[in-house]
Amino acid sequence: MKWTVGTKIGGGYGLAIIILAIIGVATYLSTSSYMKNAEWVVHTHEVLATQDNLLSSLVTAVSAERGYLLTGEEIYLNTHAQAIKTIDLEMKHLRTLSADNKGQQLRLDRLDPMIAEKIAEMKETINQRRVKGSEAALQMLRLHMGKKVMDDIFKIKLEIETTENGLLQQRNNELNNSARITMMSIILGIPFTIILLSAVSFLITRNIVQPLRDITVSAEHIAAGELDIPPLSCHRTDEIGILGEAFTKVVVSLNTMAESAQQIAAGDLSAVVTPQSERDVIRTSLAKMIVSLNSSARIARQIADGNLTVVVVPQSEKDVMGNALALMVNNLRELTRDIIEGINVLAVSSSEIIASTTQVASGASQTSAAVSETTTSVEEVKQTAMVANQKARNVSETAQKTVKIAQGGKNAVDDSLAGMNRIQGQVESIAESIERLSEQGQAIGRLMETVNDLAEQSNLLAVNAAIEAAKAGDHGKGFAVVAQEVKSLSLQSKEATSQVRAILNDVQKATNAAVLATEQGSKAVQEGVRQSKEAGEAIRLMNESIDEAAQAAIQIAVSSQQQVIGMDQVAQAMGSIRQASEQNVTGMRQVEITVQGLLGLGQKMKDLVAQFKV
Amino acid sequence: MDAITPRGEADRKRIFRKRAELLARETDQHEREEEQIDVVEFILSGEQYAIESAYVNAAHSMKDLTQLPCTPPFVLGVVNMRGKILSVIDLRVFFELPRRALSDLNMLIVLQNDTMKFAILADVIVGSRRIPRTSLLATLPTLTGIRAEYLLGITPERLVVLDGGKVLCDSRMVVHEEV
Repeated sequence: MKWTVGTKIGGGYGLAIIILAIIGVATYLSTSSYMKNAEWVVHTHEVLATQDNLLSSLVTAVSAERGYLLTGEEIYLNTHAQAIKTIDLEMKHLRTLSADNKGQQLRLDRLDPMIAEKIAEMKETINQRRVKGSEAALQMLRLHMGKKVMDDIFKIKLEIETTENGLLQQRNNELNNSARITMMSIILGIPFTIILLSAVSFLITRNIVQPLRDITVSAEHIAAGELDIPPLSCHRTDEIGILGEAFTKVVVSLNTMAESAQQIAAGDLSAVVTPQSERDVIRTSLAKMIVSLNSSARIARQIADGNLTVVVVPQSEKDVMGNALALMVNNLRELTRDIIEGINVLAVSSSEIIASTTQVASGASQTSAAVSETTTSVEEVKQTAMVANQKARNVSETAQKTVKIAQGGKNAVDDSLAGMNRIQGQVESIAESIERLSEQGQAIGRLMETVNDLAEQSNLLAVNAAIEAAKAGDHGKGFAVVAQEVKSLSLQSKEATSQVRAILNDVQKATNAAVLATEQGSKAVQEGVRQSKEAGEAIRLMNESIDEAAQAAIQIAVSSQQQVIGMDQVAQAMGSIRQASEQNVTGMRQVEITVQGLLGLGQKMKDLVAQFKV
Repeated sequence: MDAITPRGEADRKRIFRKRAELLARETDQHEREEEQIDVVEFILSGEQYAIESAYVNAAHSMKDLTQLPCTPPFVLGVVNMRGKILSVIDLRVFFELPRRALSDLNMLIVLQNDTMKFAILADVIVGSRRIPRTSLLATLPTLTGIRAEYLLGITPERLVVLDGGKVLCDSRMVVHEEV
């Protein structure tokens, strides 16, 4: 493995290009030979077709000649001449095609005179037919000269055909061979190339990528701050080997710096860091850091010793430590001053508290006396409440009695209401009776009409009877008297009816008056019912108010009872307050003592603060 | 009842006796000697009239009057009296009395003699009575025309007595009119 990475990649690409060139050339060669063979096959087919055409033209000429011989018509001669011309053309074409083949040229040389002979023979026969007639021509045909020539021609034609077929066979074989070679070169060449190139690329990739991946993993560890990584074990002289060595050096350097930083972090400022060059930024910074920390530590010790006059100068605005120290010293200075002031105030306040406490103690004594007097007053109020309670109970009992009396009044009103209702019913029945009486009086009036009618008719009857009696003359005198009597009876009954009618009128007037009176009576009774109801309602309302009054009286009695109990509790509470105020007095005495202690404490603190130099 | 009945019996006997005495009393000599005429007294338009009973057939109440067309004003119409058709004559036309509306209370007096029979209208039939012929006064000179013709006389009580025979025989009553 003496190759560099560039050489390896270049070699891989070169191999691929060479293989591609080889496959291309081989394919080109075999394809061109295939094309050449194909041309030769086409050529042979052309030769075969031309000689077939030649013979068929000859046959056409012969058949045209026969046609003429049989019919003697000129039209056949035209066809014959055409065929002869074609034979000439085909012959020339055949010679050009087979110019490269000696054997075929020889056979054509033999064929040429035969065809000429045949044509001459046909010409002779046609001439015979034209000059001597068909009989002479047939005579010529019977000599079979033409037949023999034709047989020879066919023999030579067969030979040419056989030779060309042989050539065709041979050329077909060559064509198939070249096609197979081309196919093989493609089928075998391309997979071989793919496998070979895959293997080469795999080898190169493994050789370069694996070490790079290892280095990358290590670099990620360092970036995460982990320095305990295994050493890269690659003994290579190429670029990757150099990269690995440089990486190992980086790790060692970082480890030494990390140790120094750990010492500083542990507070050990004696660590010595020597920069390797002027541009060694990290080590220079570490050294400066140690110096800065040392100065900060000195200042802190002075502050701890109580010297708050120390001056801290921060290196810059971003010097957090220096700024914090300066702020601390300032704040401590302010704090101490405040504390001193506070202690002074404390001393003054303690004195004042002592004075106040004394006053409060005397006030508590006075309060205790006042509470005693109040307790006595509460006892008197309690007595008064008990008397009020007794009175309220009496009122409640009286109200209960009143409720009973009101109930009796309500019952009486209810009874009177029922009585009024009964009276109403009776008055209504009286009204109905009078109504019926009136109706019956009217019926009597109608009857009286009838009676009056009867009287009228009796009168008429009497007149007629008198007339009849007058007609009868003296004999009818007695009858006239009877008629007179009948008439007087009818007059009497008429008078009686008029009297009855007058009486009936009086009766009807009386009944009408009675009807009016009963109606008024009914109304009066209704009014009575309504008033009774109102009276009942009033008594009911009165009853309710009396009930409410009784309830209220009971509630008053109960609440005055509760008042008595409450007064008792107040008295007890006042006793408790008295005790509490006595306890207050003793408590104030204790407070006084405690404040004295507080005053002493303030003095002590003053002494302590004096230690700080501000 | 037993106690009352004998007294009732006695009362009835007393009444019958009184009547018998009245009937048995002889009529006045004066009255008996004079010729009496029976008349039927009636009222027509507030005036009192009478007509001799001899010409009166009957008195009836007027019912179902049927008016006839093409008749003189004194013919009121016809009525059906017990199956017989009678014409009704209104005497007020002749006597020039005021005419009032008719009603069911109006009466009819049927007059009859040998040749004629019809009914005359009356407001009220008072009854029949007998009056002495001599008491009739002659007709008043103020009455003229048909009134004087029909009149028999006037009683001192100012009862106008009609002569039934003349009324019945008056040829004017026969109506023969062609339309």
